[in-house]
Amino acid sequence: MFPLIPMISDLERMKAGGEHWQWDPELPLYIGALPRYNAKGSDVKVRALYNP
Amino acid sequence: MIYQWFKSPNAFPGHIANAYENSQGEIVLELALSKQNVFFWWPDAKGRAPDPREIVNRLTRFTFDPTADSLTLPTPQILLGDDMEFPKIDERFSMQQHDHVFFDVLEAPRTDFAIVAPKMGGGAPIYNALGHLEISTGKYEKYYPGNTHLLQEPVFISRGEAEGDGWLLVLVNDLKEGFSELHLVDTKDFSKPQARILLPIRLRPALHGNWVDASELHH
Repeated sequence: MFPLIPMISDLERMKAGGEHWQWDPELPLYIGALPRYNAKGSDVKVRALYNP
Repeated sequence: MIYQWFKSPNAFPGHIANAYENSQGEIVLELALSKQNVFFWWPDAKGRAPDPREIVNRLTRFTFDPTADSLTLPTPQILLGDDMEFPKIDERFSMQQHDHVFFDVLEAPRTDFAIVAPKMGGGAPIYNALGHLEISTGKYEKYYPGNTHLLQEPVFISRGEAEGDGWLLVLVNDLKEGFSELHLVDTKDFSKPQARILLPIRLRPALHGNWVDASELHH
């Protein structure tokens, strides 16, 4: 189980001197479920979770 | 389905007590969950952050079918409404159904905040008691070390075969005297510590550890 804290890291904000992390009250709580056995690395689908 | 992202309304996930598959093939996940931003020192884009005194983490249980087409999680069940964190189980039951959860909890009126507050520092969550919840019966006990004492994360030490039979070992900071103590509490008797070890130092609030019996180190 992989719960994700609804915090956003944004490179441009950091370059501008902003904080590394920012809470986003509009984001859902995401929980990733990965089978403990017989899952391959290639099965993991990397998805962009944030599309402002 | 190999890998899925499920979603639930905005919330801050804290530490996980345990997760397991039940007899219906559903995943049961229990964790501390807050509606507020627990990392209040990182506000939102508008600079908004909760007052740390208003942040409440509740022991929360998600039950869901990992093969479901819908990626929206069912509404979770709140097992305990008190502000708690650092849930621990009898780790021999990791990834299996458990019935006992131990954690730090805040019993708000009991701490002498006039003494404690100026010495707490910022950021660390404030917990002044150990909690023990037996989920099936709802039996709920607390161990309260003192009115100027705050707790760090407990560690569970097993004893007999039964789930939850053993001790909790927990660092306790006495903010009045300025020293840390190590308390050993029997999970069957939350009325008093079995041992209270006075340390000649004070330790910063910290977290995360597990008890490993010497016999297991040879595996």
